[in-house]
Amino acid sequence: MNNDIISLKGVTKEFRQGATIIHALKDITWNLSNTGKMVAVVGPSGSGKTTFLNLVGALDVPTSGQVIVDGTNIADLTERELTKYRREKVGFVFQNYNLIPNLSVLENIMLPMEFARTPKREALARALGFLGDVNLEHRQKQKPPTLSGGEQQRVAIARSLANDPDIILADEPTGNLDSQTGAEIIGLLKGLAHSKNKTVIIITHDEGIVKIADEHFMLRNSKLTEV
Amino acid sequence: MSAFSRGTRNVYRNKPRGLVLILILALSVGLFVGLSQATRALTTQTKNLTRILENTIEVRNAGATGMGQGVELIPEQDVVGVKTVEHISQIEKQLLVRNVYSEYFPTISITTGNEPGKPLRVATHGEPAAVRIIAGRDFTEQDQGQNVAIIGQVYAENRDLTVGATFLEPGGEKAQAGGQELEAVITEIEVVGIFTSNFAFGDNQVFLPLKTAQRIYGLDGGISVLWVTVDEIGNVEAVETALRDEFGGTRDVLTGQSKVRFVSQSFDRILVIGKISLLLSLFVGALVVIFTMVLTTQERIKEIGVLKALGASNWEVAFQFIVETSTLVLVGSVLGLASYSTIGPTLINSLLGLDTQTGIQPGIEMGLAPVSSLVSIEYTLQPSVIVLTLLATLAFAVLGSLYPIWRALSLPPAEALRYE
Ligand SMILES: Nc1ncnc2c1ncn2[C@@H]1O[C@H](COP(=O)(O)OP(=O)(O)OP(=O)(O)O)[C@@H](O)[C@H]1O
Ligand SMILES: [Mg+2]
Repeated sequence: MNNDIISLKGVTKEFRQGATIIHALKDITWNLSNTGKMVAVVGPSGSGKTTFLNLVGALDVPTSGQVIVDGTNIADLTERELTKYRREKVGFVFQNYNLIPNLSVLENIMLPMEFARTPKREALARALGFLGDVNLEHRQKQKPPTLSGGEQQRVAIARSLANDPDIILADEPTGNLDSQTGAEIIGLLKGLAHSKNKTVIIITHDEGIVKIADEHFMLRNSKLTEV
Repeated sequence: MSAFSRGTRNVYRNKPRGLVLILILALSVGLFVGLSQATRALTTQTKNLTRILENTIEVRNAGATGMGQGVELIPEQDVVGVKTVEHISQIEKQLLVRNVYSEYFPTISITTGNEPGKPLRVATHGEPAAVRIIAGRDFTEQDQGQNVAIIGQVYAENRDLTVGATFLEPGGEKAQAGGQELEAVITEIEVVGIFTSNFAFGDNQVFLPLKTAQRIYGLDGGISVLWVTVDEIGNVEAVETALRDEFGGTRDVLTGQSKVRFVSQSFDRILVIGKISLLLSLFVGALVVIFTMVLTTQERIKEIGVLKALGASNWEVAFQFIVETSTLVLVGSVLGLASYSTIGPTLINSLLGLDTQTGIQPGIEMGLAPVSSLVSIEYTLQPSVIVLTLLATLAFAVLGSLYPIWRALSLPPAEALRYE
């Protein structure tokens, strides 16, 4: 056994589109051993970055190969274990935030804790804490659509922290934001990676972000290589 | 914030859509309940009517209409011959007098000479079950020949009469029986009972003991109608033949069966239409529920992906959506039931051409009563109907939700998240 947090072994992911088969990822082998780092993954459009992140987050299963996180092969997990994995092991930050529009900011952050059966009192206290981490205590009662894009993304980051996951997966988190707001978000994620010892994987097109990240990888022609 | 409250809150997430769905649901539930109530009422009413009419035979002078106008009366002695016919359980003699009161509405009032102790049959249809004494009492044997009356509610109200009060008979400008203008002896009569028959024309009538009526109107020994009740339905035909033989064409012998045929044909047609509409509304209702579900899940597949990414189990997602549609469907059903209870009866009555208050055909002048006047429909929803309707729509909602939810949940979350 090694102590890799994440390792991919010969991972291939194919999508069937009618008669044609699309190879989103082909025989990828990759591993990440340092925790508490912000890792940037770049690559041309359609190179399979989102697919890669979905596999690490157990939102999808590889066609072949192994995705091993903390010693566990995701393909071996039952539906129940997959649910627990998504709930506790990883936190997601999406390009378009994906907050539940009719729940308040606070309720959105408490949602993953509800799924984890965290007692309500504790959940509330923790949610308020995360809201503090992203400097949005004063917005707790508002509904997401009344917030700016940057604020919504900060709520989403607070939500990703809810069940104290080891890994935060962010797919182009600044894609809908202007460069200054984007820089703030990236700063926030990097701060969390360091202060809370999280592994943050960010997919991005933004050269600026790539420079800020602790580690840099490039996905191209089905090769994920350090740059 | 539980999956339950999220589910209920999601109902008004998209207010216009939620409202439209609830209204469509309410409409189809209301329609369904209304139609099933009306169909049911008509079915039982047809049965009642058939039972009442089937073993009753009406004997009138040949050519007489409902009021015996234009022909002579039947001599009372005819009964002697009728009594020899077998299988007759009861004979009722009635004298019908038509009074005109131009200062009141309805202007026509029928005075019926009735044998004390026999059913009160209101003209123009002879269904005794429809008449109910609401104050005072019925006639007894001792009342024969006495100056007493049982009067209809409308007649009483028009003239401000109560039990114990007296009035003059006849009090109008014209009295006719058997086509003749009558020379009556105006007599003071005491009210001993007040009845209702649930229709205004019936309630404007007066019952006198037969002998009293014959005396007042100078028609000793005359009657307008003989009601013959046959002991068993199977004997109706035999009695009918015997009566025809007895009278040899001088009397019309109207069996219940010929009336039943007429009545039930009309009812059957209404019932078929009712049942078809019932099925249609059920079908539409089910379609609406299923469509609602498909719509609700389809447009939120992405959110299902988000919930799963956040660590929701399939069951938690399904539960939330089931609560959502159940709430939607329950609100719609309750609204439908409520609106049925408030406007349903009026609507059905006006569709069937019945009085909107009582569900009875209003003020029929003379002659044949329309079929609908025989019907008094029970519109109040029984608790069992309410519970069944709610359960059925809920079942539809849950069943309708299962497939689209199952489909959305069986996608990998990554796939669900790609939906826009
Ligand atoms: N569900 C799917 N069905 C069919 N093809 C898919 C599916 N998901 C991804 N693909 C295909 O797989 C390839 C990789 O997609 P992916 O979304 O991972 O790319 P990406 O690197 O994230 O691109 P971008 O930078 O534009 O977001 C693309 O060619 C895409 O069309
Ligand atoms: Mg992508």
